[in-house]
Amino acid sequence: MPYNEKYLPVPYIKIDEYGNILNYSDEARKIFSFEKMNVASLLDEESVQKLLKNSIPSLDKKCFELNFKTFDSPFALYDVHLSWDHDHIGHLVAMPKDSGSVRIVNQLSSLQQRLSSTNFELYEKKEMLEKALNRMNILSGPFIGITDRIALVPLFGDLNGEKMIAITSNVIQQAYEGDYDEVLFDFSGVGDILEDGISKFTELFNILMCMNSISIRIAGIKPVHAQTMNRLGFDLEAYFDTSLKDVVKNANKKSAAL
Amino acid sequence: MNQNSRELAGFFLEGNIDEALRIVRECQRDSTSLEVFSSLFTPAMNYIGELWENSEINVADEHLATAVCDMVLSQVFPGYVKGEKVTKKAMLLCLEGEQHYLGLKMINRLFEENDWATKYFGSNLPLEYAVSTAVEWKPSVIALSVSIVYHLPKLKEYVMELESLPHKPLIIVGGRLAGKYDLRPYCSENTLIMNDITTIGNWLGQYQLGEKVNAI
Ligand code: B12
Repeated sequence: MPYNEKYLPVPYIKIDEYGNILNYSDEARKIFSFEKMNVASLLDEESVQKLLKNSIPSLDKKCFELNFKTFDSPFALYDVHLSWDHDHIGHLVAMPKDSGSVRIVNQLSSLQQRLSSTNFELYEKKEMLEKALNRMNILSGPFIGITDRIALVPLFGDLNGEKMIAITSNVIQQAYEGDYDEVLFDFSGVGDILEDGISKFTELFNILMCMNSISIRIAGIKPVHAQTMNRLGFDLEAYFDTSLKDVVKNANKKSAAL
Repeated sequence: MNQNSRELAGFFLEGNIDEALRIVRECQRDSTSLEVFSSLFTPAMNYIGELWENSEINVADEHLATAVCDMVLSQVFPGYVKGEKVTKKAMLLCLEGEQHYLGLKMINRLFEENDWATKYFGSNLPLEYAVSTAVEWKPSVIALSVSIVYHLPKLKEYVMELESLPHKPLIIVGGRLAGKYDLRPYCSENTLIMNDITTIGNWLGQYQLGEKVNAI
């Protein structure tokens, strides 16, 4: 039965066993560029080998995927159907991947992308929160110079290790730069005292006392704080004053006496 | 290629996460992450490429395998707890349109294990985003991954623009194509081009060592 290949309603390419293109349908012409009349020139270079593997003329019809260069894209995936006749002529039909599977694959990719960007955003939020927390921790123990010689560090909130670490570096730096004799820690605003908070607090005391022998006073300790601190073995030659008022009074007396 | 990689590829294609996890965990017991990546994951994924060339699987299967491989990677190498002083910063990305991100994900892990803070963007990051993040975050290293030949012209744009940022980041280029072609024409003489994961693994080790020596 004679037929005109030009009018086949599918992208059809007729090749010889060397891959030379002998004819093609109008449908194929709409998709591929037939500048060079060799089938390899229609393919993504890393699909050529695969076509060769599948081009050993046999009478079985073969179906497999290849990436083609098309007018729309440099690598478009096609289902290729290929069969050879008795004259070693290859008949190749290239059908675009059916839209259903393309859709699913695209959805899968976009889900994956979303998952990884959600992950990333969560990570960024976590970083932001950590920064904010650290800033809050530093602000929970501001260093305030009251006179040239005396500085006040009012502590706020629960006293944990993390907060103390944030406060420590700030206090040490300022105490060092300001050349103070006395640093007052006010516990009036402190809620709970935790074990790691106390151990870091002890470290801070030790560092301050080593530095220019700064003397330390503590005010505003509540009975519960005293108990906890005792239990956690807090034992330093610091001066305890009951309230900030007393401390300031004492400080005033001292400066008056000078 | 070893038997383990072939088996792993099979589980990726079946969507069998549990068995895939088992193989990886077993291998992990007496290997470094670098070894697990280079001699288990990479050959497994490349074997999947061979299966496609032999018409034994379709691209759709590759997508499933990729998703499973990604999940396994995330499970076996979850968020890395960094050391106290992380000062080195690296940003990792695939060029716009590039969807081959698995290799880069492994590279990201190696950076993390060597105490780098990283921003890992995975696949398909347009240059304008890369530039704006780099300007703001100032990473000292920007790692680019490229797998598809067609994306090469874009590589040059990325390299030139990122290298000319005011803080002068070091650009490292890798990915499938780095092992296959000479990428120098698409880079500058300052760009580091690395053929494979072992090269960057060694480089990270050397860098760490250099820092320690400098600290003394
Ligand atoms: C699995 C796979 C996919 C997966 C993605 C997997 C992934 N990596 O994320 C999916 C299914 C999504 C995919 C999609 C496509 N793929 Co694909 N894919 C593959 C396959 C089979 C394996 C790749 C792989 O995962 N290797 C393992 C990883 C770990 O290796 P790697 O990426 O090279 O990374 C290692 C090193 O390079 C290095 N490294 C990586 N990044 C970096 C960065 C730095 C800085 C450094 C130092 C090192 C480094 O470390 C890694 C670890 O060892 C290859 C086949 C092959 N021969 O490679 C085809 C292949 C790469 N894909 C190809 C194609 C054409 C496509 C599609 C266009 C198919 C289609 N028509 O839909 C799409 C489009 C993707 C796009 N727009 O980017 C072609 C590319 C041809 C070409 N001319 O370039 C190949 C070669 C297949 C083929 N023979 O045709 N693919």
